[in-house]
Amino acid sequence: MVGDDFLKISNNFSGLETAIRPVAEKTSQGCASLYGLDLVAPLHDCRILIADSSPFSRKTLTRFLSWFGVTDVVFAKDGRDVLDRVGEIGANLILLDTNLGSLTGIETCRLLRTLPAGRDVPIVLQTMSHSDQTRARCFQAGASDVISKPVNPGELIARLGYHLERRAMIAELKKFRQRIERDLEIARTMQLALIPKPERVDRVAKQRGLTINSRFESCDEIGGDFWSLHEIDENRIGILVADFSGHGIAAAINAFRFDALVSRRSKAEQADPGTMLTNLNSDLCEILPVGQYCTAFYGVIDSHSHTLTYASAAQPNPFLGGENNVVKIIDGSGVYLGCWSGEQYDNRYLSLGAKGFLFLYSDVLTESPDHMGTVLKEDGLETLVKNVLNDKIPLNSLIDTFTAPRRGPYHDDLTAIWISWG
Amino acid sequence: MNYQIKKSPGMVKIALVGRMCFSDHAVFREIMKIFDLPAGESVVFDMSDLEIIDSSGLGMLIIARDESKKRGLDFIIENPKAEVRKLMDMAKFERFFTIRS
Repeated sequence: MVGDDFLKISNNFSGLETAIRPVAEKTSQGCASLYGLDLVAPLHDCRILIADSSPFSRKTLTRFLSWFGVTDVVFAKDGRDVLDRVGEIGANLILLDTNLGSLTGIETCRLLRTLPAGRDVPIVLQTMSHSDQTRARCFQAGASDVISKPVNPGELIARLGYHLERRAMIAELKKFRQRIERDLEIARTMQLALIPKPERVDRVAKQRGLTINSRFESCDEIGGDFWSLHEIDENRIGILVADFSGHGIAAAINAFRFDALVSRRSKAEQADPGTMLTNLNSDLCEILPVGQYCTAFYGVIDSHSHTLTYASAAQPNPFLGGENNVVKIIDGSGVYLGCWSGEQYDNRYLSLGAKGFLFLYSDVLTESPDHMGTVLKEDGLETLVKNVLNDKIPLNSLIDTFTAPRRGPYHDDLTAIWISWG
Repeated sequence: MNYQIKKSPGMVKIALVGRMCFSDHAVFREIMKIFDLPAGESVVFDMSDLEIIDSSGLGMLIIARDESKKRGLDFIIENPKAEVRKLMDMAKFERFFTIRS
């Protein structure tokens, strides 16, 4: 409904209509055409808001529109009226005359663009002036298009059709984008549900005299990071960190498949990193297409014998800290999981000091550029690790320092796990 | 990523330039069409001007190797830069690929 200030005109120009009929007619698809040219979009569902001070112009415009099935035409008496009622009317297109009185059409257009209801709607300005300067000012004020008076029906309808179609396409794209974003948000929540719960991590760590701090952030497009915690016996825990190639939906689906494979592993497999990765590789080779793979690290920490047994499949080199703040980079190289069937992954053994830490992370920490475009690389991350060693919760300080010059969300998921003892 | 093709008898050399990343799947599909060659011929990826490769790019190399095997072609990687080579070494590519420096 529109208020009293608006006049809704029903179109009844039978005499003129009959005279013009031969050039404006329905096509076989039901869309109007003019001079035999099909219009790009049907206009009959559109509401057009017209602000024009001349009664003759209003009648002419209404008549032209009626030929193409546009019967929902709403009038505003001046520019102020347009601004006051634009939200209520919900027009698909606004047709303004530049000569609207004290508040000109150009100024009305400029103000409309500052309103939520006028930001995206096509605004077509009509002007008597043919000067380049006036037309430029119209566009500068945010006009979608400018047409010259007197208005020709063919040009008017072609231009309106173009802008209405363009707007419909943008609206469709926005809707599609919103749907994808909603789906990705749901997928991110599901991905987070795969990650060990903090309460469980704390309990498992505490029982074995360890502290585990972790961060897991899913990137805006969703990625394929994964980590899991395995209770082997009263002294040993297993930690698996993996990252699927690429990112987006495919990588995330692979992370979900991986979770199913990991949860199937027996206690004996969980206690033996080499066997764990060998068997996961064998399963992944059967389900992954060529070119998709994951990097992985699986380590078993024995808090009684102070040893780390691990196997790795090209996961970024972990950092191992010992007494006196000594930090060593341990070898994470190894063949990707899911590429080469029959591959055997060997165990590697390290003894741990009475006090120390193991830091596992995904490559987003070494590869994400800061605002200067610089990436940390392994050396930079090592310096960062050394700088936070004496902090209360080193991982928090490290992530804070990493995040400060970088605008998230990152291009890939972020996983960082800091296990300390002693 | 951009690429240039140089053909000589029995060999096609493809010079990869720039970044070989997630967004290059369409370019890579174009490159894979070049693998339609008689068995016994060689395909060389010249990586002297490839600055960056990510996990998707490394996956593309695995696809190229697989396709070469299916067609009986020799697939060779040439002159990867230090950063690119480091990622290949991390995944022990030398066991599966012919890499010439």
